[in-house]
Amino acid sequence: MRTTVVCLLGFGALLAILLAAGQRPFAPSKFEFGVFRIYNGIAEQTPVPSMISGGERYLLVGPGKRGATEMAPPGRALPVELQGSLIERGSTRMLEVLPGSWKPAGPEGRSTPAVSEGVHTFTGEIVDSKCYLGVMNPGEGKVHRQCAARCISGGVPAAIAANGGLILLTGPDDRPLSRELSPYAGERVTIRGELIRLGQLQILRADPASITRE
Amino acid sequence: MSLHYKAIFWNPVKKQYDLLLAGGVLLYLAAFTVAGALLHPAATIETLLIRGLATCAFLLLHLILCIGPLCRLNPRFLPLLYNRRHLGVTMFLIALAHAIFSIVQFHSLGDTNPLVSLLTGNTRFESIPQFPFELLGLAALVILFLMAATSHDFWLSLLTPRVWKQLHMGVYLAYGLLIGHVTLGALQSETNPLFVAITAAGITIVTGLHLAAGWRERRLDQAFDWKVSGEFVPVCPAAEIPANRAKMLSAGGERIAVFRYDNKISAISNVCQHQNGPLGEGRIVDGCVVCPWHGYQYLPDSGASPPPFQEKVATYRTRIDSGVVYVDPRPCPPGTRLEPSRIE
Ligand code: HEM
Ligand code: FES
Repeated sequence: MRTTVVCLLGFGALLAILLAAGQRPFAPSKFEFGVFRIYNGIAEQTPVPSMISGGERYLLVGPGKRGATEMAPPGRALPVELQGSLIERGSTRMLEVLPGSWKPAGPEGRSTPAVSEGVHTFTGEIVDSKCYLGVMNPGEGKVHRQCAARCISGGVPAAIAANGGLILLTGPDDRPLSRELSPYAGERVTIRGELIRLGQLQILRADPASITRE
Repeated sequence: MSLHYKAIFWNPVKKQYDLLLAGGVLLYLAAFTVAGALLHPAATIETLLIRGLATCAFLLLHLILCIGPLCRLNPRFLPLLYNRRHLGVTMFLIALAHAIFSIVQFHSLGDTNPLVSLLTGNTRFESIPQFPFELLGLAALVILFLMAATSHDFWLSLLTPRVWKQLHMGVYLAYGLLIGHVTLGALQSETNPLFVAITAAGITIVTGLHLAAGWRERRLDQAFDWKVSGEFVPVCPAAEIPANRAKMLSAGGERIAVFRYDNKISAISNVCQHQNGPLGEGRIVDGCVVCPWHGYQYLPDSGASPPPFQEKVATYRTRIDSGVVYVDPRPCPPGTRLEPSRIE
């Protein structure tokens, strides 16, 4: 009996290590969970909520599975001071804004012009930008599908993970595509639209009717 | 149905069993999370916990499903079966923790109630690779909950052993649902063939052991199945049955345990009233046959449990001729006292 028990325990521990080791590699990403720093800069609502602070552009999202649209007063290029937690994957940065910390810091400034790069078609997985950039790891794939659907539906900017990068998705009028894209969360699709560049960010002004499942 | 149910007492063996079980679970979870954190530094602790708990519960479920046929094939494994219910409840609690962590992680803090989100977050029922695998896990969790909640003997006597046993066969349905939960979930995301191989090995071991045990029992039944024609059938020489032990046989579709004690021979049904444990694998202690599974007791000459208990099993007439034991495979009503045959 003793041998049976020792064998079972050893087998269990070995299997645990094997399963833990075999997991699909995790993306190198970062989320400073619970650490809020002060950021000063110019915030913009469209095409996706973002701000420029210290020369860097940060996407802005709300807490949990929420976007930042409700926090930021509409208007272009508003100087603000806010507290945020840094989320980072590759060269793309995002801040989870602490509710109530958003303060106007001056009169309207100058917005950065978005540069159009023509009409493009992308094939890849529909993800929510917040989890993908590091709040969850993995923040993509089948196991994460329902979470991505919840985040997109809650106002986190939808995006397509294609060609190794992240392309944010908005409607032709820069309206968020929460309702249209949440049913496609976690799935591979092809989508077409006008690609624009805003600093380091790539944004596709897509016609939701152009989306097809692969 | 009996009026009383036997409390299954905590004894040192059971405490040891539970301690080993708890230690094993903690060892598994620690090994998974520590190895996961060291080998995948970018993994978050929530993901490691969700996965560690999930695989731990699924592994325990495999163990639970294998114990039954293992004991039928080799009595060496009986001590594992002895407290299988604690194994089942532990497995349920670990699976519940996995489900709660998953719901918090993937559904909370959004624009919808987390449970509504779980039920409606993915409606691609028509697609196999995109199927909402979470709902298969939820269905399995409900079944496991019903089984864990009714695991106490109070429910066994309230529902009658037959209904209780049928309810608890639901574990096979839950197992099937969980195979779906894993193949349509994690296996769609993971790229390492190791996971497919381990899942396939688990299914093969569980079905293989059940087939092997069933096949062996069928062969035993066929080898010993005498036509019932009012005749006594030979069992074996009386001297071949060890003192306070039984010889089991199958005749006329009945499983019979023939006991030898105090130079006497009595035959009772081999099937325990509690959960169909094999009485013939038990021994006689203080004049009572003790079921090897959970210790229900029966008097060998009448098949009745000693008062105040009211369980009764069928008894069978016996005879000894030239030192050979014979048994009449027509059952007498449960609890019928028959005069034991005496060994000269
Ligand atoms: C409401 C019920 C449940 C929900 C919402 C749920 C959710 C999930 C999710 C989201 C995953 C993927 C996690 C990941 O890979 O990051 C998963 C995997 C898994 N679940 Fe469940 N589950 C439930 C019930 C169960 C039950 C009852 C079991 C029984 C043992 C179970 C066993 C597993 C296993 C073995 C895996 C694969 C390993 C893994 O990837 O974590 N699940 N489940
Ligand atoms: S089956 Fe439980 S005591 Fe016999």
